Amino acid sequence: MTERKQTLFTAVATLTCVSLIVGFLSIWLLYRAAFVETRDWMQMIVLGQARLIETVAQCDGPHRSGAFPEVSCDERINQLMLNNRWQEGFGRTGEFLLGRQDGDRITFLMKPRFQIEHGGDIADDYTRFGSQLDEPMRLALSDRTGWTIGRDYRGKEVLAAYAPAKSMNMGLVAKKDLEELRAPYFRAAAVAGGVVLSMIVLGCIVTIRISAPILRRAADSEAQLRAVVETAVDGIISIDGQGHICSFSRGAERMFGYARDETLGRNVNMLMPSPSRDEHDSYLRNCVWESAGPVLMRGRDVLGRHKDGSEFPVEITISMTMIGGERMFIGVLRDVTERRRAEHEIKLANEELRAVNEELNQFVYTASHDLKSPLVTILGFAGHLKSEASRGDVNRLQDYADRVEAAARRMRTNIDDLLELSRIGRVMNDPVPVDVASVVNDVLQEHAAQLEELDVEVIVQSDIPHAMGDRARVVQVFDNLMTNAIRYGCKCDQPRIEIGSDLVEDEARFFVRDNGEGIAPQHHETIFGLFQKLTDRNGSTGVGLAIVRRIAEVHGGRAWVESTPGEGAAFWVALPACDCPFGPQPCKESLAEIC
Amino acid sequence: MSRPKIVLLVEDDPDHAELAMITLHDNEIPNWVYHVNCGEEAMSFLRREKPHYDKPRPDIVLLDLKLPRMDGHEVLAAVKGDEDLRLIPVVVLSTSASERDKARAYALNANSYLVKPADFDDLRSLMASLKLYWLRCNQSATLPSA
Repeated sequence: MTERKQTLFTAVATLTCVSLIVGFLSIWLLYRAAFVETRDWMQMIVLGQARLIETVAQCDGPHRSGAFPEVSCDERINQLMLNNRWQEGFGRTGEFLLGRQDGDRITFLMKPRFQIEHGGDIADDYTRFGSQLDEPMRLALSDRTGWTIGRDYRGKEVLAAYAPAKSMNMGLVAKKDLEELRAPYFRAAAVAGGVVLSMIVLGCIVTIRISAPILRRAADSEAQLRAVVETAVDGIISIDGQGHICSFSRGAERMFGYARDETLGRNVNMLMPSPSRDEHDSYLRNCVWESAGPVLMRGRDVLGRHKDGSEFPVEITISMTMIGGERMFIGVLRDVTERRRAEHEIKLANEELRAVNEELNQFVYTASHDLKSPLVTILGFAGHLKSEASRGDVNRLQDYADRVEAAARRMRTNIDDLLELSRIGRVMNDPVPVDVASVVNDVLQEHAAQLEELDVEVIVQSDIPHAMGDRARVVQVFDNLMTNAIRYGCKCDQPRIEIGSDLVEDEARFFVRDNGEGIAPQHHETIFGLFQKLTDRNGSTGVGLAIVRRIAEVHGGRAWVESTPGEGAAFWVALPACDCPFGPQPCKESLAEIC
Repeated sequence: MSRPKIVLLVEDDPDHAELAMITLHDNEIPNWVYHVNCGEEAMSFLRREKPHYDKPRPDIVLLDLKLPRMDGHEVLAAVKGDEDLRLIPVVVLSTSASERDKARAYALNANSYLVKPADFDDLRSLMASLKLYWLRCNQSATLPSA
């Protein structure tokens, strides 16, 4: 608002100055013209009269010594003076004077107009030759011709033309008060100045009256627009055709960390990371030349660069508009960091869900087969049992009943295994550093009797690292692997079981290796499936390796086998490594607390 | 009466094998059932390798899908991929009713796919139908001897 007042004031002041200067200049020029005209006119009169007097004097010269010396020159001059005495055509203050020097006095041959109009005598001073007064007459009496501005016999400033009439020893002066000459122009200047000023004041009042509501509406609408722009959560940035930032909304300030003043006038590529930072200028140039429509870009994903140097995803919509004949690009930006993160999370969750679903399908398929299989046996033999019993044939009843019972037991085991498998995913303690070496010891002791019976050579690597996990589950893993190794890997002359580890980056890998018959490559994956067995030896349910893999997976690890048929098999389990894999002192202490 | 039909039963579950053999036994449609309990043995039986060099060529193979190591689908693929064995009808007899298993079996040129019923009466009538159709009605073919 003050800015507007200032502008208005400047405009009015300039207008006033210009009008006054123009007015006064033109009045002054007019005055100059009138001045010159009056001067020339007076000179003409003075010279004309002087010539006339001279002519008369020359004419009289011969007569003076002749018959009528008295009726000579003086009489003519008196005549002349008489003719001029009313000073016609000289305006209010103009007059024609004829003077002569008498000693140091100036004698006016004609009674001066001033004296005629006001009466009284001319003071002595006025007419004294040595005085400062009546400069034009003095000049004329000094034999000079010309014009001057000076004081007359009254001491008033006058414009005067003067010329001598030498032969008569007289001086002629035509003069006019400067005051009279100037008066109309002063009046004109005063009137013009007054008119100009009042016109300007009036103009200002009218302008303000008319423009105030328009300006107020414009200001209101601008304020509204600004409010929309400033309160928008999205950042709104406008740039000119050269890429310089013209406006920077609050939303943009929040988004990029720059204050508005830090960005205005700077190239917009300061808000972009490389390589778009370097490409933007040429892109903008091409864009300016080939602009297709008002919206140049809709909802495109780009990267923004925060003041602190970090980059973040931005969804940008750019439109182009013309303001004052200049292209202007307006970008509306939305920080989509959160959205992208959410999308990423949803994607991950979906993938996990898909994997779980697939797993569930596989599980249902396998479980249905393996639960149905003993059911077929039970119902089949129960049917036979009934029909043979009704026929009184008792030979095979015992056998059938045994088969039914065994199948029922198998089914119960299957169900227990399924429940166990499902528990692994559901029930798990928070991972803690687990001393795997002690786990291996416990498991070996558990199987000590079997190992002794089969005369198995057991080799345990010395530096088995710690791993992050649930100790009970880790025990389960090694128990299953040991059971498998004893059951399938020790059917040779000199059975040997080797337990060791390998630390690769953040993974602690453990293996249980046997020197049994090994596993063919096509079965390396299938054996980890539910109820998958490669032999039909009793006591096996085909769930052990499925449990091992499941435990590894819920720990964020994996399980696999390396084997060549005939050369034994090494079952590997990888678990997340512990920060202090070989248990330095503090780690051991904390372990002791936990365990 | 013609000679008894030869049936090769490939089944790893001894109980299921026993059930199948009990229900296959029939005086009206005489048949000899040979039972093997894994895919590898089935192939060596069919190819008459040791110790099966003296075994007859079966008229029909009853094949379970879930077998240790070499599974039923692999046996099926091997039989149907063998110039000499492909004419032997293979009837899949499985507990699985899954679409995937059925589609895979037919894609591998299985001749029939039967699901083992849990119910005893259903099992008996299924086996009766099987005997009637595959052992009596169905005409098998042999390669014209060179």
